[in-house]
Amino acid sequence: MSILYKLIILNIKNTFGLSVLRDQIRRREKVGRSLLMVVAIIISIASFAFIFANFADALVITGSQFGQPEIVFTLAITVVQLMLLILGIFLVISSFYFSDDLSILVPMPLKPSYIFAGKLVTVIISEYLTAIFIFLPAIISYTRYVGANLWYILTLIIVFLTMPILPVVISSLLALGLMKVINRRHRDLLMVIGSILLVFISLGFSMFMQTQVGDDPGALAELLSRRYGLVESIGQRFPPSIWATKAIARAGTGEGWLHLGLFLAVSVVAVLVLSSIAERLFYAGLIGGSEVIRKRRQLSQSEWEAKTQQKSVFSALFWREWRLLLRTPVFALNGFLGALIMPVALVMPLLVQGGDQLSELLALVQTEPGSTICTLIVAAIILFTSSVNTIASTSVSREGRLFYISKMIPVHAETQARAKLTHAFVGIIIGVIPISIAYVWLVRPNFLDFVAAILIGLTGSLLGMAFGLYIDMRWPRLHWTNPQQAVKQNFNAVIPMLLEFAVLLASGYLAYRLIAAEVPAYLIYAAFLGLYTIPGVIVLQFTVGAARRLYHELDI
Amino acid sequence: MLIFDQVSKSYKKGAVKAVDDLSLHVRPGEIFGFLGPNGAGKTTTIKMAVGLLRADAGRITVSGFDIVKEPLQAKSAIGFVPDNPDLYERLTGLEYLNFIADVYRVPADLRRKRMERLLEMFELTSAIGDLVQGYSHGMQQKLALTGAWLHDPNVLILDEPMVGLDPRSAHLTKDLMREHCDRGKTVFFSTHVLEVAEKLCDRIGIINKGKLIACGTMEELRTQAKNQESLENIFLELTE
Ligand SMILES: Nc1ncnc2c1ncn2[C@@H]1O[C@H](COP(=O)(O)OP(=O)(O)OP(=O)(O)O)[C@@H](O)[C@H]1O
Ligand SMILES: [Mg+2]
Repeated sequence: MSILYKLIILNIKNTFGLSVLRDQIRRREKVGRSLLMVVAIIISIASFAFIFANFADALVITGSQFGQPEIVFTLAITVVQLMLLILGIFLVISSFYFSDDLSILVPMPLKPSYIFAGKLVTVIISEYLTAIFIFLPAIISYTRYVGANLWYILTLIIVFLTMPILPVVISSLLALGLMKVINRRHRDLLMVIGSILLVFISLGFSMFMQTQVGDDPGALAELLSRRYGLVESIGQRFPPSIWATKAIARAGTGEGWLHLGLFLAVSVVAVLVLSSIAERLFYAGLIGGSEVIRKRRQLSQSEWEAKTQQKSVFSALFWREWRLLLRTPVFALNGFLGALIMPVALVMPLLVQGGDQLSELLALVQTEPGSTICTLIVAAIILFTSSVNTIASTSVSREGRLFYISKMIPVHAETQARAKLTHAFVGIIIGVIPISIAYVWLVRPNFLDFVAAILIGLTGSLLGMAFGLYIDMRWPRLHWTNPQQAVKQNFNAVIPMLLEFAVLLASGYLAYRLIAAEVPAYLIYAAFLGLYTIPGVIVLQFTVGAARRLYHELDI
Repeated sequence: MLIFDQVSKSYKKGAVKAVDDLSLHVRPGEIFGFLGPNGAGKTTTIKMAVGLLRADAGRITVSGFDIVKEPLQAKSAIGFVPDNPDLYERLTGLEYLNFIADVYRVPADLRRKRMERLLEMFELTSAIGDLVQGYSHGMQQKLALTGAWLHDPNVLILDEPMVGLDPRSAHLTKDLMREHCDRGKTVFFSTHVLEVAEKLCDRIGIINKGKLIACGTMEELRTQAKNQESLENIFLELTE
């Protein structure tokens, strides 16, 4: 048992970077940056908590009008478990099969089930951190309106602690099964397929919520007024969330205990099933995990000549960026997932709602000020899509320990920065293409509006990219062992994103004021172009400065 | 060709003095072997010479260019293989070599000629279209060596180049180093294999705890240590 305990602690430290953090705090290094991180975390947590809290309040108030304030728990638990299920598949696959410490752990005389359990615990802890965002506002709202007693609190704690187990077990089983079945050479492909699946699941879920609830608060009330309406419609698909709801709402009564028992029993059964299967499947899927396809054949003369053409330094760097991005699945997904999801997520609900509403809306955007608003919204969508794109903001970090190559080659810092920016910009353009197509197809804008939307969106994106690259050049995260760490567990990716959200919000407010003041459209467009371009150029100067420091001065 | 002038470097804000007032002049046409116990400062010295680290004090010139003041010219003159040849795993061997040839501006016909010869020698020709990910350790090392030779640099700087190479490949590498110097160019490399140093090097430097404690031809080293015949004994005595 003590080995298991040590493994768990080791995994936790490793996953969350605790030792590095402690070291940095002790040495008082990078304090400014850590401070920036803390602020960024607090802002993002606060804004999400605020949104969830408002929603939870609304649910409790509406729910209690029909004698069902506990609806908030049904929804919270269902959403949490669903989220954890999806998140779990990724966490499990990446920490079970794609983490580099496995090559150290596997040869050690440890039981596979211990290694497995150690990893599982870190996955579950990550999930608690996610779950608490959604669950806590629900608890606060419900407790405020209904009150609390000892049994209620006790039940809450038990439910919260048990909550991730069922989804984690299901996602582990899915992941284990997949890894066993899928041809080992195509692991990378698996990540891609998994992520696309994720997109569809989340889209499906959002559309399900849309059709069930709609945008209109009246519909929510109507749904609730049908007795057990929402509880049943969700619960039929996922009974444990009903049990947990009843356990909390009737805490201390026989009915409460019964449902708590049911909820716990399901989780225990799930764990038993997993532990009986895991040991065999885990190693079976693990071994040979890094085999790659070998061609081992002679290149023909013409192939050889084509592949040894001389290119300019710039295009050599540019293509290196592309190849490394596209061929590392985690990087490619992180770079392009946002670009894939956004247009689909935007267009689908419009098409689903369809009919009258859509044509009404489309009529509205053909005339002033509708057309101006529409142009700005499209620009905002482009800006948003590129803000979730991390190609620029993880550009140096992705090179990791291979960064020495970029530093050893005799290439100007400016050229290196230009290649990285161009690469990121092309990445953004690729995201913009489907948006533009959807835009032209649905709205049929006039030429000025179209050009304005794209240009404003792109100049805004350029500002964000330059800032992202600046951050990553100032504080690159080069010491990672697992590519996930370079793009997902990297604050360089988060900080520019938050900045761009702030820019978006400010721009939205400005647009509102300008339109309300009936400023002509072309002036509004010019204002935004100027507002984005000027700071963009300034930030670019800083980026070039940072590049010079990075490539010619910094120790690695 | 490669000049260290009173170079010092410490880590952790001065807590670890890795290289201490090192002065060294490696001449054209010379193979220089850099020896020293683990942690002596060899890799640190090499990293400063190729521009990965910045010296706290002193000056390093490569082929007449200051690595800090004229980094691009200096780097153009260097071919470098690090102690652990991490290469882009997701590029094919050929893509890597071509990338290197592009950034060092090697014309197409020259790069083809050199690649063909080196790949043939190292028996990498059939693997060159595969991803580096699938290469063995020695194959990666040989690919890194090929990359370093590709632009025919004035100064080759190699950190433990023989590690992981089979006897034939190690032999070929030594031949290549010799040939490089015979054309008036310079090779500076660190190694733990004293036999290689003894047979191959024109001059040898021994570094211990950041300080250069001995430097010269085998003959000169022999006179520095008391009555020691083999380099092994000299090394053991000096680094005690
Ligand atoms: N990144 C680093 N941070 C802190 N200290 C370092 C770092 N790299 C090296 N050192 C320290 O600098 C000293 C010299 O290390 P260096 O790597 O140059 O030795 P070396 O001669 O190459 O050894 P080896 O033969 O083992 O390769 C050692 O004391 C080492 O601990
Ligand atoms: Mg070393």
